[in-house]
Amino acid sequence: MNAKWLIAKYIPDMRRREPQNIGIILLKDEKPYLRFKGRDKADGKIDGNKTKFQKSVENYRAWVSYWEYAASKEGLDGLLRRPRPDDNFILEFGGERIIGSGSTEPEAFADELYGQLVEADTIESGLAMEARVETAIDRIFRRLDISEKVEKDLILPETADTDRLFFDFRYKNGKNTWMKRVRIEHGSEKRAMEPLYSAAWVFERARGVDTNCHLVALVDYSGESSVIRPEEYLQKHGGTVINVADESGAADGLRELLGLSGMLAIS
Amino acid sequence: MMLGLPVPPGAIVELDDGTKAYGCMRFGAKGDAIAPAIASVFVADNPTLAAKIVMFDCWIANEDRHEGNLADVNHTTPMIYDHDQSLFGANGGRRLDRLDDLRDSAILNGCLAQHVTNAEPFSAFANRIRVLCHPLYGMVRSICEEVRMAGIITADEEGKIVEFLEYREPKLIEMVRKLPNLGGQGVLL
Repeated sequence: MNAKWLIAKYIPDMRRREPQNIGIILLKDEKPYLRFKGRDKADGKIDGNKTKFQKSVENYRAWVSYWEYAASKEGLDGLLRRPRPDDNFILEFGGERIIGSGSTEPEAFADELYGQLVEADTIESGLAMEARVETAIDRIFRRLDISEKVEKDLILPETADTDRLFFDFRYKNGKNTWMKRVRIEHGSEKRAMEPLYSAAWVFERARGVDTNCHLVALVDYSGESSVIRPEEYLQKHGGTVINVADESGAADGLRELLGLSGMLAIS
Repeated sequence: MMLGLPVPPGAIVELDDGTKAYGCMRFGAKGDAIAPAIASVFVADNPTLAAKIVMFDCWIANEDRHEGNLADVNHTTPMIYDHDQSLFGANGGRRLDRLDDLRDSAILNGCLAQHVTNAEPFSAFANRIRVLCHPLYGMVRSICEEVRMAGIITADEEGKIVEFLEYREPKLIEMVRKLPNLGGQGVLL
């Protein structure tokens, strides 16, 4: 029996046209098997905390619901019919495999496809993530027109001879704003929280020696690790979290924190 | 918009090559394309609006109402758009012929029509359309005149559209009686 599958893709920016795989729809014996980012395969519910790659969780839910409905009602042809030119949620034909009776179960095959086509795409390498975050931060600084004024790779001077506190950036505007990149790891809550514990430790000690400074965690949490809440945790330890995955929001947040004027260059 | 239907605001615009077009505001979910609606769910969630859309499509000879030009996402206003296949349709040289061909047709082939089961909204909505067509107000005529003056349609086409819409207006109730799932309500119209 043939099983065919489609790959669901999301294009975050229609000008850049760089789609990312967000799910698969496997059709076997006219029955659809869906696997999507943030979707519980048992009850089909979508957890908004795991779908931060897109802009509106309600709309994402509506897309997945529509695809599920169209797959059940009209099959492959219905799903691939009539794409709209401005759609940034799209489906592409993925492939076809002949599955004999008694061999691979469709549920397991859907899991396998999802693992190969979506999850592998989602969990980016550490180096790739570092490079992406670095580029994002650079763009945010340029957007605020402060690239030339931000100092890089510093040690809080008062701690040079003791427990040295490292920061990635400092911006001075009447008082110091110390910024630290905090990389949130994928996987378990324990793995995700460890960098936050470390940042909190640094912030608490920094606050002890530079009492009038701003402490900022530059965090990228566009991924799937949002079982944690970096804002809540680091705020308790005197830090402000800026999510660099949302460059526009990050620029607005930093602009306010750094006391910059609204009339700034936009790169 | 005059009928109170949720269409995105738009205007007549001139394209780079000098041609004129009707451009409407692009809308979406914070920049993402809005999901197509599921017709049966759309009607269940918005029964009155769905009935109005069905009658509106019938009036303007829109045979192209599908899930991709309906938007119905939780917590947002439902929207309808893409009416470029109505009136003259996409017939090119047979633009005027289409209006003759469909003059007396009950156009109820859109994706919502089969799910509409409540006839109650039709009378009030037909009255609204009647007001637009009424010579005293002349709204259909003035809109068509505006479009002709913008260079989008010719005087012949303007006359044909006005005649088509005014001709169909009093027949709309009779036409929607043919909806498949109104049951006994059809006779109440």
